[in-house]
Amino acid sequence: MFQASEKAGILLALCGLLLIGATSLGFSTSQYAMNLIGQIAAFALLALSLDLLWGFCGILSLGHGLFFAIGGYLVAMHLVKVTFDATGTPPDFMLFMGWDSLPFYYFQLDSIAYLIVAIAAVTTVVSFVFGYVSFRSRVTGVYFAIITQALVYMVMLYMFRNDSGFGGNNGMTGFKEIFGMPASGSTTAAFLCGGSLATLGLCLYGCKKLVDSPIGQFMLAVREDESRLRFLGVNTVHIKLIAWCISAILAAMAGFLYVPQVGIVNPTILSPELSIEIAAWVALGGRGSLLGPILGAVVISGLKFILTGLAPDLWPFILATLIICVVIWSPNGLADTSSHVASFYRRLGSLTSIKGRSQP
Amino acid sequence: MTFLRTYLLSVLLAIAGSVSADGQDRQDTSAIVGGLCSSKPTQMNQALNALGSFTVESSDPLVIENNARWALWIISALTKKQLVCSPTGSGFVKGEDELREAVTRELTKVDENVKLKAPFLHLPVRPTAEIIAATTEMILASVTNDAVSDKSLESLDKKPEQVNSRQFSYLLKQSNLPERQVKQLELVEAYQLLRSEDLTDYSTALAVLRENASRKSLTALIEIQSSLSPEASGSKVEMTSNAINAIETELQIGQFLSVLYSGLSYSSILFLAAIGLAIVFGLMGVINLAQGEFIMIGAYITFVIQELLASFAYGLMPFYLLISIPFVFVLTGGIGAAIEYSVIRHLYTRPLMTLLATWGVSIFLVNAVRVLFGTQNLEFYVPDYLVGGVTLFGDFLVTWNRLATIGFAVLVLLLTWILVNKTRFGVNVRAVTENRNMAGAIGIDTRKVDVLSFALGSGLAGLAGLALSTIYNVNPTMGTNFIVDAFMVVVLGGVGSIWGTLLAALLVGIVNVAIEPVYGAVAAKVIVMTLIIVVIQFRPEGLFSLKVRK
Amino acid sequence: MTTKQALYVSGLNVSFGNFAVLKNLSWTVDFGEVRGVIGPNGAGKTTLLDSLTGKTRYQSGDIYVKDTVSIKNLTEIEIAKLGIGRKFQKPSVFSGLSGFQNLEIALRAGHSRSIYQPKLTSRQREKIHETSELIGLSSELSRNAGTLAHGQKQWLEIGMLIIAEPSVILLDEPVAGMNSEERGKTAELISNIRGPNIAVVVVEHDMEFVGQVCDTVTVLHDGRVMIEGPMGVVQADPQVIDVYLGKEAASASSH
Repeated sequence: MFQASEKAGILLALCGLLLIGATSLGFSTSQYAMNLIGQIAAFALLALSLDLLWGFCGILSLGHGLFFAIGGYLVAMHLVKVTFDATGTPPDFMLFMGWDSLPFYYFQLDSIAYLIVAIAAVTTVVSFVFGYVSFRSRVTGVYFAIITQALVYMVMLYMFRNDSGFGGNNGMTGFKEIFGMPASGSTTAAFLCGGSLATLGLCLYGCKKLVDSPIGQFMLAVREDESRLRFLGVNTVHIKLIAWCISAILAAMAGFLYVPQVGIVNPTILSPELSIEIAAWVALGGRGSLLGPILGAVVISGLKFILTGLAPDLWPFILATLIICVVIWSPNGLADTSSHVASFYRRLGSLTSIKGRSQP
Repeated sequence: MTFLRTYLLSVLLAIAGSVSADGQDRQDTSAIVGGLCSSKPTQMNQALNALGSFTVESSDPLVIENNARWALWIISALTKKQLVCSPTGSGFVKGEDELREAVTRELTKVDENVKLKAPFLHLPVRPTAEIIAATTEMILASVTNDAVSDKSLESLDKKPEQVNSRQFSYLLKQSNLPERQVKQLELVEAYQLLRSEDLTDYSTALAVLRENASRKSLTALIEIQSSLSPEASGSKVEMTSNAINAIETELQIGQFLSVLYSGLSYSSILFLAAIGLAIVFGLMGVINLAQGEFIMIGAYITFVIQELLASFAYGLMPFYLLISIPFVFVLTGGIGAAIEYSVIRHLYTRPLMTLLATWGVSIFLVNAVRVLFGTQNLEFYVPDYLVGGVTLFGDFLVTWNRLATIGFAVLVLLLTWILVNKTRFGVNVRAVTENRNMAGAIGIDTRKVDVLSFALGSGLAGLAGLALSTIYNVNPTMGTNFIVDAFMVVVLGGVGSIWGTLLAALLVGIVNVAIEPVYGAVAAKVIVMTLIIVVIQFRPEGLFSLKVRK
Repeated sequence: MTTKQALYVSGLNVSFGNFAVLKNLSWTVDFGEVRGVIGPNGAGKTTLLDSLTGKTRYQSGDIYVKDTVSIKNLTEIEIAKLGIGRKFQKPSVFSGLSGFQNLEIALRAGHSRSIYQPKLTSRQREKIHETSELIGLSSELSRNAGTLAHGQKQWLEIGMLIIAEPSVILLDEPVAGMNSEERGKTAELISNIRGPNIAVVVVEHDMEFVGQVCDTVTVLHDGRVMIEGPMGVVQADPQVIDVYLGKEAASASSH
């Protein structure tokens, strides 16, 4: 399984690079398919980010949409800034507010390097501050989950305001060009899709390396028994902060990849529903395995794409039933269903071995 | 009885009156009718005022009564467009299939060639007509010794400066009014006295207005203040600004109280929603993300019962909220128990998975209700006894529906407290909360306690839905509006503590309502969130957590 | 070195709400000794261990480690770093990890710098293997700790304490739920651990086991030290007999 995730990471990265290479040589692809695959790849990265935190460190965040949105909103601001520099008119939502130039926080965002630094910095600062106060006061488990949900809800309410300079209700859209490419077209879609796949692959590979490292072992130890670790003299706050901040950055990267592909960002990506849905991908795919959640995100968001078109009224019922059934009957998710039988025998075996020892 | 007597009297007197109107008043009355027929706003207003003065010209109660009835008849005809005028300026009142002469009230016929036209009722004329009718009604009531209706008094209150002064001074002399109405009359008088040049009158008026502080009296005084000429006597200026300050202070207190009041009613809903969460969390370590949907279902059950009563037992409609209470509690509690039994009991050792499973349940419930009822807001019938309210301080209005919500929450609080502290079931709940294994070992059926507590929590959330149905919007996704605040209440209040939940609900509710109108919903949430983060720095398990060895 | 006191508890008071668990308790443990702590249920044994490891805050009195260091304001992490290791009543190992990983984490945890050290040194690997031999689990190291037998988990947890080279080891009911063969092994393990620079405290209900491994026994009763001395002396004390045989029922029901 672990070896598999390393291979899969390299494979995904190669696929992405190949796609980029082929496209730059003039190979043409379906824009719709590229867009779909690219978006799902961004969702998969989002699932991976939560899996690293929940599956490997035992911390469930129901507010990961916040970091996704930090990446998404900042890249949208970059695109707005680029469009403004080209056309000289601010987007409609600002004209509506009576602003004739962009607010100060759009400063320098036209530079991609600056954008990436900004995403990293904002994500790190937000996640560090929130993580530090929560972990230090030992907010864990269900408490942490609902506090993160309240956090994302709060930010969503802020983003709904029109005077925030982030597009309010309708969000930001109408980008003229994306990273120097025309905003729509199959070439752009293929490049973005290739980029997303490659990033997903590299992140998967990196996560594999991380969970195998000593830090990864300590993350697992936090998940298994945090208090035992404390009584061994380890300040678990540090371990948790590392996992939390890395996970936040991965989620922000997912947002950075996602928004250019859908061409719009609005407060719905901050809704508590999306954040819980991420947790559902992870749970359905299987926590604690790196490939499972990616699979979960692919299957669920793929099904969603298909079924919301075919039977929009039916989809929520299918999703609800799927979640409830998997959570009850397959605690380690769909990826694990095949190994159920094997694990049953293993458990049976260990039971008999315990009996053997206690009755000499 | 009174109505019947008045009716008979009016029939008798109508005949007698028509005779008396024949005499010296004949000229006045035709002038009045002529004015009304003029279709010019100023003349019509003058005619209406003359009509008002005419009712109190005589000191003979019988004449007054008769004239008042005639005046009411004319005004009513005017507003109903039954008063029609010939081009020569004589007026007639159109009945179903008859025509009466406006001044004499005698049946008459008009040549078909004469074109009869109803005078146009200009916008400035309508309030005058309404006010003259109101004062005339009051005068009529005073001579027939009937009670003056509050409705007439309210019309006076709307435009006090337009009240006919002669009618008004007559009314003030009457002694058979209840004190409350006298007070209201005094207030109307005060508005009139405000324009008086006499300093004593002016200060009396100010004193009365200060006693009845309202947004309206403040506006009136500010208007007066700005119109005061610089040469006006210093004491008048000073008195006015003093009165304005006093009224402003009182209004601010009133505003503070009304924020507190609507905060209290929001807190009541939050408390009802959160108490179940807190009990279940204390007991099983599980947070039910579908709690908001139980609120929603509670409101929908109330709606269904309202509709059923409307179709099958219309007489019981005013009591549909009361009738719904047991149904809502039992049905939402039953749904809760079913969910506990089918889903949650498998997940007690995995509380984080319970979050996901209950989220699945919540998606299911929201969409089921959406398919069954649609997405639009439901319309609830508000029974008469919940409409309106009473003004207590400044313009602080205690509305009955919010008061009922608060009272209901207090009642539920008491019952829950008794249930948890004074019953066998409560002892079991507390035992299992503190030590599940030990409780199981001493023979408590922990499964039964779990199911019943979950059902109780769901039932209480359903009652929250019932309580908010006449105040907030009810639609399939309404649960999300309450659930995050309910979480905050649980985190802040601590686990399994009724008092902690109560205090936290009050805090969260009042902060939300107080901050939201001024700084917006975000600021309110930020403050609550900051509060929570500060609290958990010192008390990680909430304000009122139990201290036990774990 | 051996004259130093490993633990010095002075006038300790701990209460939960209005209920006093430890009442003005004073107590010392020297380096080099294996101390047994016995007493009926509710005497305050586990609360004493909780106070020693920072799990429970005490209201008054103080605890000194290695003669001089007061732990009054320290967190459980800082106390663990002072070299106090504790095995919990319920075996607490990282069940999702292998035996080797459990020991590796404990080893790295003992030296805060090595948490982030990418690879183990050969000396560290050797140490893990030495420890696993000491606890009799060298052939089980690759197994998932959650699948180990109850007794093996207890040993693994003791191994996790030893590998960090602590000054004080607190063992809460180390032989609970073990058969006599496993008890024998545990007794052997404890006698292997003992040394001049370490103090071992064993909290146990099993009198025979305590008599076998401990030099001195402290009897706690109702939050106070009732008597201290070699097992033979303690067992013959009329007060102790009274508490264990006569009053146990009464004292248990009063709490």
